[in-house]
Amino acid sequence: MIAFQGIHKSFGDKVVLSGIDLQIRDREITFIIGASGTGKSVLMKMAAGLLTPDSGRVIVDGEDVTDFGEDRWQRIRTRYALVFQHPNLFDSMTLRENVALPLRKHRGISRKAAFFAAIEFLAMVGMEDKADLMPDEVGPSQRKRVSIARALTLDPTCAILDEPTTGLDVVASRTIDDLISRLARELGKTVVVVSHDLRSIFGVADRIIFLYKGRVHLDGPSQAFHASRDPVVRQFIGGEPDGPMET
Amino acid sequence: MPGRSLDTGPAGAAAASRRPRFLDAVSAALAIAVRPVGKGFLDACTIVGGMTLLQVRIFRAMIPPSFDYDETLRQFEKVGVRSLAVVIMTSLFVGALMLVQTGNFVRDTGATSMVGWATGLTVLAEVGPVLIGLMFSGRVGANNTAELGTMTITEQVDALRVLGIDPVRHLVVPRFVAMCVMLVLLTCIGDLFAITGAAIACQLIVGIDVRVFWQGLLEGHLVGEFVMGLVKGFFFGGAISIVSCYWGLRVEGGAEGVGRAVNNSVVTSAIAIFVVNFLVTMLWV
Amino acid sequence: MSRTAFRIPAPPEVVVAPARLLGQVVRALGHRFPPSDRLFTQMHNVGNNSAVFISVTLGFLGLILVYQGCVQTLKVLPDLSGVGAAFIFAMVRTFGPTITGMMIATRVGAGIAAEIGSMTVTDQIEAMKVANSDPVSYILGPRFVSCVVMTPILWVFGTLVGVLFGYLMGHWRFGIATQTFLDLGLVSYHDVVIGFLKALSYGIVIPVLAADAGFKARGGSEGVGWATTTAVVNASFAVIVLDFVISTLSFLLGY
Ligand SMILES: Nc1ncnc2c1ncn2[C@@H]1O[C@H](COP(=O)(O)OP(=O)(O)O)[C@@H](O)[C@H]1O
Ligand SMILES: [Mg+2]
Repeated sequence: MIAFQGIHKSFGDKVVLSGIDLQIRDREITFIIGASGTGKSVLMKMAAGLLTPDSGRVIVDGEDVTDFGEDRWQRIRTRYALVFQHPNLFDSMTLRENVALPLRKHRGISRKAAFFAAIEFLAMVGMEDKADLMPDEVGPSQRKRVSIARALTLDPTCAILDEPTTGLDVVASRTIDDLISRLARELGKTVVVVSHDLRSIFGVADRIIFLYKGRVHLDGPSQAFHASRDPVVRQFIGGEPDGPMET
Repeated sequence: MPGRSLDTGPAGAAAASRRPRFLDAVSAALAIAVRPVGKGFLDACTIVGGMTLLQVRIFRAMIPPSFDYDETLRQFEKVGVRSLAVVIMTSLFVGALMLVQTGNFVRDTGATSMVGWATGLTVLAEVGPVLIGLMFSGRVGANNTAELGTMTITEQVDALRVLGIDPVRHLVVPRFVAMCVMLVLLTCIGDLFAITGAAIACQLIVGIDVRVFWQGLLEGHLVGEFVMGLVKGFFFGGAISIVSCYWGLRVEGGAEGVGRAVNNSVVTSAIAIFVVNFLVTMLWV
Repeated sequence: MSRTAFRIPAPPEVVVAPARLLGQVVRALGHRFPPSDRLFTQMHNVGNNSAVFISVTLGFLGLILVYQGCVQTLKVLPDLSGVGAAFIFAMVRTFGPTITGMMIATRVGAGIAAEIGSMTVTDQIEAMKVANSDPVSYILGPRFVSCVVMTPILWVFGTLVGVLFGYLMGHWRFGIATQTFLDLGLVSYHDVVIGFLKALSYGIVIPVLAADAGFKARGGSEGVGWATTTAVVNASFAVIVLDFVISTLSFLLGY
């Protein structure tokens, strides 16, 4: 379980998060939505200790991790699979080596065994036939899929996916949706997804959290969103250019 | 912190009307003159502190050794392949250059037997290691900063951290080990080529028989100087790796940031090389 | 990561392209000289901002040269009176110009390549061409003039700092008297001219080589990194080669 309590964060003069309170419940699929630049990615990075809040607490599995140093974070980070918004594969390694790296580092297995295991993870995202290409030899959406595979290698209890379907075609997006449901329903993992993709949002989410102006604006199951009379929410779901929403 | 204390802000401005004019002028001039010094000093402290911290983390990762052997091997290859040609060419020219300089002297004094010893001494003990180190810093150190900088701004370093892999163990230690070892080897090879360059210049440019040069070199008993040069190479390699990794991992703000970081990296490395060179010689001789 | 990006360019190109660039910038300067405000900004950057860096490096160089000179001399004879003169001779003619040149190649060369490289990869150079203004004259012009003017000045400055620190070492550590140490007996008019010529030639080639690398940058941060690295290596190497060529010529001509 991840809990954010009164999180504030600014970069210079720019206030990004101003009082976020929310809890991610175990074994649920939670979607975080909101306009670009509201700080969704910033919030996800805080959950993995890559950024620290200016004030407020971050609680992971009942432990206050806000003031953890790099060493202590190192130990709990393997519980997470964080997939960044911009695919960040190691560009000096093949796709297979990318996926094998965490296995070699944490499982203490040989190179060969790790390479063998890596194929299984690549197959999960439909990339097994490109295993020996370099990251810059495949497209951005394929790089994204490989970074999802890499993040899942360490059997994390919680997967955080930052815009996993942005830039993917419709078929590939549904593959990712299936993967998300499988992670939660079959493997019992907690899944947090940042997304703009309405089809995946209303298709697989157990719970949707809408961020607006640095705060949680609405928090509930998809039905709550469809039922909401809030003009900002209506505008966001409808995707209309004009309305009360400030960006 | 002289820069800080002079910065009285609005309160100081309010008090200005009550104070004699020339005192204001003096304090303003002092502020202009002293503030950059104070700021430079603070910046230097930050940089040196950061590098020392990185050094500590490198040692913690090495005792007991727990770093990436594959990456280390890869670094050995990259560092060596990348810098060998540059080091050989530099050394040939530096050797020849030092001999021509000595030639000026010898022509005036007629002491031809000096030539081998004097050139050997400067090349093996001081000028060779320093110039090889500077070229190595330009080739390998700068490249390393650019590479780590790109990894930093494309969030590859963060990717390592989220996968529970310590960037210092995985990225910095292999580079540290590779650069320390390789610069010793390269200094060794460079010495060889510098002596060759000097011998060629001796015969062809200065017109002293090369046997006189060899004799002077061998009778000079320069083994101690040669070993000191290698020790310098080792410490230069360590300094260059720490400096270049430090700047690379701190890059902010896109392509421009990478360019600035590389610039800072080579400047800091050059300072480190001259300071380390001084310290090693003082402690050794 | 950059298997292909970081290779040493083939020898002819590495000479030909900068030579062409040098021709371009000289012609552009004859055509239109940069306005003084931009010139002074660059001169400040090349000269004043390098002063501390050159003081530190040349200072340590002076210290160590005199230290080694004295220690080695004491092995053969107990008389240190010649060390100062020989040291000053070497500083004026070789170490002063060349180490200063290498430091300028490192600091200023890398800076020029980083700036121009960032502008190239973000298409600002292309935009300038489209807007009909010549990037060579606009960007390289003031930097080139500043380097040509400031490098000889920094040579004087660096040599003075080096000699000063060398003197401090000789005086305080080895007890050489001031008059004995600061002996200009070995320095002739020729040596000063040769030192100056070296510094001047470094001032000409460093900005050109650096800008050449910067204009050739391709593709994001890796390209800028490549340009900066190439600039430092090429410019430093050019300094060593030029030093060798000028020293050899002057030796053969008997100066
Ligand atoms: N490291 C950083 N430094 C400065 N500003 C940042 C940084 N990271 C994010 N920001 C700013 O925070 C805001 C929110 O960013 P982000 O979390 O990426 O938004 P999104 O909701 O689209 O994911 C943006 O305006 C961005 O400019
Ligand atoms: Mg985002």
